[in-house]
Amino acid sequence: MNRRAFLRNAVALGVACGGGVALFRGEAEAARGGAGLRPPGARSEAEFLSRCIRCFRCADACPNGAIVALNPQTGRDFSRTPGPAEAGTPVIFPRRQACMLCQGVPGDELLCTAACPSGALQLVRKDPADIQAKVRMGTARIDHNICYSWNCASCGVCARACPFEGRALKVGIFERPVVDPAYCVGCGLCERACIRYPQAASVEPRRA
Amino acid sequence: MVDRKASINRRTFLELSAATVAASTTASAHPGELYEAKHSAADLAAQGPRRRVLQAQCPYCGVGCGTLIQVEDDRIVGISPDKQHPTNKGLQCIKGLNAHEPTYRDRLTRVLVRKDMSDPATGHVSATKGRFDDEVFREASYEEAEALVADRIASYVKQFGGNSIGLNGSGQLTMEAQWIENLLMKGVIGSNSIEANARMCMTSAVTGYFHSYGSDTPPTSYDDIEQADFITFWGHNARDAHPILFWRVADYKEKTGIPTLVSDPRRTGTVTALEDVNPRNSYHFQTLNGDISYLNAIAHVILAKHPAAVMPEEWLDRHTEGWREYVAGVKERYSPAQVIERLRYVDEGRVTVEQIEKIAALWAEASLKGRRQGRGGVLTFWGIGYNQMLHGQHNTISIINLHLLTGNLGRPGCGTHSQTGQPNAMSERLMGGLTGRLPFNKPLDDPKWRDWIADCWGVERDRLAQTAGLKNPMVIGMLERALNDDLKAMFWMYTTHIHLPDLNTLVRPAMTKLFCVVQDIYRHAPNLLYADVVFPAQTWGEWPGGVYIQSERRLYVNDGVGRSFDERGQVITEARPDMDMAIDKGKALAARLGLDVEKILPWKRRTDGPFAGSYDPEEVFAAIVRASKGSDADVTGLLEVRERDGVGLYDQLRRLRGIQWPAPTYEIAKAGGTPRRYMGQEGWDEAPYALFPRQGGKAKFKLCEQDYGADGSALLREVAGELAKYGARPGEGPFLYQNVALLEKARDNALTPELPDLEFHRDATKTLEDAKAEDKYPFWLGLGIVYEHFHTAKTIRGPSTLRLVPEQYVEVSPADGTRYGLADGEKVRIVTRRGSYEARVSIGTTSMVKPARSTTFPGYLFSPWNLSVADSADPARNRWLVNAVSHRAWDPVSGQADYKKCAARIERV
Repeated sequence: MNRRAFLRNAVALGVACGGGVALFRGEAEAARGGAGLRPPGARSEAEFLSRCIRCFRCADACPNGAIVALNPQTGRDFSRTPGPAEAGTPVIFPRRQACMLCQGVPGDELLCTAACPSGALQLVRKDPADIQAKVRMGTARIDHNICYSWNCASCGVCARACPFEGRALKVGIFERPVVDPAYCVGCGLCERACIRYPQAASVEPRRA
Repeated sequence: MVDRKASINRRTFLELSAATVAASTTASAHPGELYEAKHSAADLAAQGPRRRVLQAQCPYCGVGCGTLIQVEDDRIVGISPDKQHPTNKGLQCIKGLNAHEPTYRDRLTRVLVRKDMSDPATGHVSATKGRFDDEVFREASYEEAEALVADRIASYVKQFGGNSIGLNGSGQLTMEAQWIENLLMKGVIGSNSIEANARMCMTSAVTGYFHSYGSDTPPTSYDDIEQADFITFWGHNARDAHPILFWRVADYKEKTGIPTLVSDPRRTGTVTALEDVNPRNSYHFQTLNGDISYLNAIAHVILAKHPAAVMPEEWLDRHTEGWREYVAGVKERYSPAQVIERLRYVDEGRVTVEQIEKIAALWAEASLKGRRQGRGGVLTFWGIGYNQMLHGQHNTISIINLHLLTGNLGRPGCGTHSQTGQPNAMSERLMGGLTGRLPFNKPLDDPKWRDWIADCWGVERDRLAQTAGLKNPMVIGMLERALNDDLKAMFWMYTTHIHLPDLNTLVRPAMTKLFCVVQDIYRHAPNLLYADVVFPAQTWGEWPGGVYIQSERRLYVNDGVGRSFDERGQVITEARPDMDMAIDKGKALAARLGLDVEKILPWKRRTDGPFAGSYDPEEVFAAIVRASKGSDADVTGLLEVRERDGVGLYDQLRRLRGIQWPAPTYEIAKAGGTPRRYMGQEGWDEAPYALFPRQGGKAKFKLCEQDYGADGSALLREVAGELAKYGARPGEGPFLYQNVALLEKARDNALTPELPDLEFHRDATKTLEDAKAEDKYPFWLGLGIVYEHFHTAKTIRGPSTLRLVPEQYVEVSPADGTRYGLADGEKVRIVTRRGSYEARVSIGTTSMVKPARSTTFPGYLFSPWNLSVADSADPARNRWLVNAVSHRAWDPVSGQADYKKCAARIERV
């Protein structure tokens, strides 16, 4: 009942905002399926777009299959229609597959950043300090209205998935998650792990 | 305050529901529906699928949260927590929240008969045991298979005696099914070889309670949490195993700042979450196997430094016995310094004198506060890990000793609370579904009660007396008997064999020889590998009713839709409730054994209504309630309420959201039963006992000893060396049930079943490869559970829960990871003397191998058993079966095996 009602509302909201009320775009995206993130180490959006040569090597290098080329097809489920400059650029939809920051994979650098030939992605070493310094794909947020743990069900799944658990995402009483934006790199593992539908944990992409 | 508020809520709710039910007796035909839902269902009827809400207890752990099953056209589509239920108050954990997911997956749809069946009468051993593909089975009708089973079992009974038939039941069966299975075994077949998975779960607490209080009765309620002044957890990773209970504790700690203690070899999520709330008064005893000694040491310090917290002598004399010996022994041998020195070989001084003294001071302070206020004090929880030891009964007794000494019982907010693992393990105990037990907390050799139960069951008194003379060395001994050709056939009802230890050398060889009759819900359940005849069963949410009892003695009804479906939405016509199949087997066997079927099993299948074709569990429940008369678990008040107020038994449970036993009178039953036991707290004027249901009405002390022998390890080495001979060769002797003296020796000194090569581990030059080359086992290995899964069948079939922890892992301490060059996420094989399994290394709480909630100490490994068959149950592909490595040694009184201290090594894959 609740879920259905919520979905109906969410869809209604999406329809209402579809006309291009930019303010609500994030909400609609979160309700429908999440937004797209740039791969780790991406420079500012404008610089990234000018440097990226659409070679797709980052996606080939990704051990998790998380990076896809943005096109109307891949974006369809995620409310992300590429603009003229964006088509064919790499993007991660964490709900589909999140960035695992190459943990547990051989090598000293994040593989996509090592593969990038144009410097659109700056090289990121795998140690936590370097990741913290260079990676900001977005910031996770928890919707307290629908999150299980904030609504009487002790879940805590998102925090278990977080590579910076205890810092970026910390659970308190009843496993209630709290995000610390200072540490969150926006990898999306929490969004990927969230068992609520629609997801209560979602990553707000870095826009600039 | 909390208590009063809760009772007002409940009362107003009752008034409301009484009024509304009176107004709605003519409404929808489905008896299990929530009253509120009936109306909304009518409103929605025009709009599409019929939505209903059914009341039930969550099918997972023993906390027993109130759960509302969301049903759409007879299909279970969702679960939500019940805000009216006093246990969870609207909370639920992710397992319960996703309990509907595994319902319609991989279902068994047909009765299967193995083409090549084992026949112990002729000595024929099936060549296809260990396989469960379609080739080895043929389909049969229910009637044909029932007749086949009854013929075979009856012939074994006639040829070899009733005790040649065994049964392993379950703490997931309903109370009614447990009653019937016990009747089937002890009354009809005449066998004392009835066991249940409760044996591996709770019997150490059970036998400890019997020893100390005289009855298997946890005396406390969950509401005591919000009145306690000091809460301790022993061998209990509550955050993982019993989340709702744990969060109630943590929430209360946050509000009031009470101190807490966790005794666990790992730094578990329980430890860290309590430290998150308040690091200054959250304590952790990082001990392996030392709980008895530390409890005694706490008593020592209280006696020496806080004499005011010790109950006065006249109180102890009036209400207890054996306390002088206990006090003398504790004073002489259990000073903190002595204890730490004695346990140094294993515990390496991880627990300190200061810690013990601090805990003793807190314990004393809380005890005095509780006594002064008449409520509060020390509340102690312990879990399955604490029970699963060679000296599990002594563990329980040691906790009770300390509570008796400091008077932490007999008032709200304090006491001893064992937390069960299975949702209905308590009913399995109460229904006496174990060797040598009768329903309602009485032993089979109590002639008066035996005659009463024989009368209730409608069997000859002599027949039950005959059963009482039979011996069965509990579940592991029972399987050893099978290898020794003393047991011929076995029923497996709603339980899996992979929860038992030592699978490769004991359990599976035994099941290969036995004629096994299995009731199961999943087509690829591990039991099917060794089954000769398989009956598809209905599961939770599908039964037409049935009672569960959770850890605070709360009886609650599980409503269901009455039908099973497969993945494609087709009705499984062959699936029946376990109780129905037990009744049918009982009828068929009683007829073949020349007993009076109509008298023993008078129940008839219903011919109309929503549950046509099944037996009525409420009728069986009424028989159970009647039989409880005069026991200390008397619930006949329910019958009085039914008579005087005309409210059905199940309806009483539904409206009150459960009734805590005992409920011997009309008033007590109307008030929701008895929240607290002993010392006159029941408000039961004519209780069939004094303050405690033991002879003389007194509770009993017993000093439990722990000593690893000369130079701190001689006895450990000696006994572990002896025990290593058991399970050395698959399917062969020697048998441990023939050497109980060895187990008693291990128990009396509180030893471990195995002893790793600790010197090898302490030699910093040794590597993993050396261990393999020299055939050494340098690590302790403990098995347990993980939050995201419940046991091994359901949550691994639910996509939400499987996704969270999809793979077998082994927790390795960060220091060992560095020393042995083990990388986080690396695949390894864990090997013991009996077998091996594969797992991914998970190091510390920052591990990428989830859930990464715990940190172990160097030399200790931990794996959950939940993922045992998550890869595949088929032995050809199954790599994660952890119980292939565990040791069979058990507590000689409780029968519970020790899964927590195997000797293992790590091999790279």
